[in-house]
Amino acid sequence: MLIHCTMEELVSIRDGEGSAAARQHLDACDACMEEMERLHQRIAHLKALPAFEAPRDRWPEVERVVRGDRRKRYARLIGWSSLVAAASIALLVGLRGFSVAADDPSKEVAQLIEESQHLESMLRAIKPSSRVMNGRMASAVVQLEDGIELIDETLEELSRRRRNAVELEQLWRQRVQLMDALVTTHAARTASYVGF
Amino acid sequence: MNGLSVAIDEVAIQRAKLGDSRALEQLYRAYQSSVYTLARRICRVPEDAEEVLQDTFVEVCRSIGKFRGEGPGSLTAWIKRIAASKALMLIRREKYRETDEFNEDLGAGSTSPAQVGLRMDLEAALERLPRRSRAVVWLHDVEGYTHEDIADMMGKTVSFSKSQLARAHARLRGWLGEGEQC
Repeated sequence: MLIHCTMEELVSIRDGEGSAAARQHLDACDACMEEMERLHQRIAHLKALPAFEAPRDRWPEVERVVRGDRRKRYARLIGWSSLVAAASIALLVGLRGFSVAADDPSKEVAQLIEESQHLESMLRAIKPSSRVMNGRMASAVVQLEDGIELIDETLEELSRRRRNAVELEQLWRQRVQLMDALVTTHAARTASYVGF
Repeated sequence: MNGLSVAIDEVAIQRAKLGDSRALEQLYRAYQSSVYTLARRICRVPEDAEEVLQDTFVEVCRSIGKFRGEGPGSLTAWIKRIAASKALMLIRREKYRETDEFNEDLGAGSTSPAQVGLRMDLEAALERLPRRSRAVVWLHDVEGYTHEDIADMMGKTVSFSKSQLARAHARLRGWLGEGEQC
């Protein structure tokens, strides 16, 4: 009785494997040889299938996520600088005692740092990297994140030299505004994502 | 490797490794089509393939500093390996299990192969394969991965990969109306 090669044997032989008996049978059997030719043809047709093009450009979103990573790393670094800045301001306020005026820029800066940290924690709670957004929104988010990064760099630079409380206040105020816009953008997206 | 147009040189690779965003975008532009095609063939659903495309390049941007290969050839293999892993991870999700059961029920019947051209037949037949068989066929026969690679990426054995490939070809053969099997 003639036992033909199974598909598993044919696939193995094509891969340069397969038992000696199966190879021997293939060499002597026209039907199995024809089957092997069909297998080759099928694979050739699979390889010739056309490539697909992604319907949308995903680069803006990829860039946004990667920039977010960098910003988080940077925020961890700047976090220490912020704490040091906050501690110095607290010390300064403490030394001046209760005579400090309500609109003292040092006190303002301390509040702004606190507000900025609160917004950072809100943003973490939203988990912006876990959701897909469209290209226009991704681009807006990238711009906001770039602005924050620039401010962080300036703040870091400022922490190395003699601090100017007014300049600090302006920078932290801008940072809070940008952070707030970023949180609002992500929150709006989250709301539309869950169908509000 | 399928559908790949590489316009990346060694300088661009080195710049990308340093985190240069223009070089990273250049990588994306050069490889997006082949990554998306691989993802579409494995996942079948366009939205899922887009997710794989995005996740693959996020991973590429995050990890390219650790890439130790040399030249566009090894970069291609590295990027495609990431894409294949992401696509396989995605098809392990619950909804794909349900779709597979549906596909198994469809059997060989619903579209007559004679009604459409050969390429469309093959497209339709490939799409109709259960998710893991489809993935194995594509990765082995088109992308050129070995059964060892596929088993490693799928967290299965080599014999699992081999049997999935044989079963897939037996099914494709039947659906494409290639005559009685010997």
